[in-house]
Amino acid sequence: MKAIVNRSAGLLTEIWLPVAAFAAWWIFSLNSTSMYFPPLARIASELGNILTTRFATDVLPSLQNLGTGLLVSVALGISAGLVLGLVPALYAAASPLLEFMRAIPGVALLPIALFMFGIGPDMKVAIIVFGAVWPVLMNTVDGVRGIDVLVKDVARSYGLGPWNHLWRIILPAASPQIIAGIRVSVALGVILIVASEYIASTEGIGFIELQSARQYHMDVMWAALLLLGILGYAANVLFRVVEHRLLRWHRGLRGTEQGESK
Amino acid sequence: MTDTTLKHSLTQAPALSVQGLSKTYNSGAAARQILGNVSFDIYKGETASIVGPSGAGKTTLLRCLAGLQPSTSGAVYLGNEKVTAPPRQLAVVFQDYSRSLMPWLTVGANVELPLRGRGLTAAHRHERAQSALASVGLPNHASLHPWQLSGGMQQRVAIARALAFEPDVLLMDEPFASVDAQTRADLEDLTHTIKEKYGMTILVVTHDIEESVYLADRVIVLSGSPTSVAEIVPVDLAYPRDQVQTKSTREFADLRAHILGLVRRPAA
Repeated sequence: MKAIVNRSAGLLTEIWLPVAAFAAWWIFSLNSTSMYFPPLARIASELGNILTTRFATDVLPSLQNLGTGLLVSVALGISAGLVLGLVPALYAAASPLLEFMRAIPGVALLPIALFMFGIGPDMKVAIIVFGAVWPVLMNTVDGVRGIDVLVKDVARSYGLGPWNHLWRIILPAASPQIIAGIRVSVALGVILIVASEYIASTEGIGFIELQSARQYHMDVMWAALLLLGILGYAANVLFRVVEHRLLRWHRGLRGTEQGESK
Repeated sequence: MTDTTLKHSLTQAPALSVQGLSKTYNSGAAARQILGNVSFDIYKGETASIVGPSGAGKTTLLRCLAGLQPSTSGAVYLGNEKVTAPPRQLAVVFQDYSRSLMPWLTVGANVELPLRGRGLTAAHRHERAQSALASVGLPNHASLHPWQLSGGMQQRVAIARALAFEPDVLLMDEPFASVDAQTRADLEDLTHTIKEKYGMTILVVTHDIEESVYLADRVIVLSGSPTSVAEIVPVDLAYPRDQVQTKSTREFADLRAHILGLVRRPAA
């Protein structure tokens, strides 16, 4: 009972400001005649329009490409990070090259990706992977390299096989850092999907945004922008739920559990 | 030279034999010899302790015994096998329980960890973990996480994990150095209890002279730099031992004083 009260109180403190801000926007923009700042009421109805009529043709492709790109980034980043983290000599050799490649902004590869993959989903996924793989990869390397010597001693002295060692020691031990890396990758992924849809594209939320701006449909443009914000926010919330579950032990260990989940 | 002549007339072959073990870190001008020609035998079924001043290389010695670290020269034999990697018949309880237990695993899963990949069914594994946890007085704690337990209880879990492994030889590295005095006394008595129940050979590394005497049948005293065996002191105190009674006997006081003298003797 007390937990429910606490939870609703927590939700209230979090939500009152956004609600107030949107209410103010709604009210003050009601009679707006500015071309750049149309009434929020019209933006909202365009948003509804996008979600009903263009969901399958534009929203879904964006989500699919983003999802695929992030999945590939995470899988690739964790596997490569594990190998590099476990073989110090390999990491020492690969490190300058990795630092160099990661210094190239993902969007800078758009022209070449266009050539190689065309304007289809492959190009978008490739751009996301190239830009978003680094935080997962680097954090996995750091996480694996930072595993306590004593933990390694325990694993060795009890003769754990490679599979158990990987699955029950290395991955969980590195998971706080891996998850922090994925979090950054998700944010990068959202940026990259939009950027990739700006270039020679025929679908996607980024495409809607650019196309409507070019046609002076500012209400549609704002609606697409809002949708991107909502999607990014939703991705973050989803991610927090997963993180909350996976890293329960980590919070407990640090004694920072605030009682909200009890 | 070190006198390693046994004062005990034990007839069995040693469970653990350390022969002329040396360990030098680095080489050339930066070389630092930690262990110099350490030799002793531990017999099957006995409890021995290794005592020596801080910085005497006790942990280095234990890591060499456990196969976690190669020695510079000399050898360690477990039964007839030369130790070159962590042996299956040997389990280690580390000093720092908060780091040696996996915080992401429950107490039960921590104890079951060494049993994985050995072809046991989940039920069998579970049963062995439960029985080990019961032996250390934590029968109802399997579903908690280590960090939800006190330090003494965490070290009990680490001991249970070693017991579930069913080793012939149990190595303990300063196992009770990080807990309060009362808990320490309880854990010392627990060591006697599990010894009685499981009958394995136990080797405890400690810097605490009283503990070394109270726990063991023989005390291996290290001293000098590089470290070698100063003397192996037999402890003929009767079992069952009691924290108050045993420690207030004349023999206990004499042994303690004798070992203190050895440990504090300046390096030759």
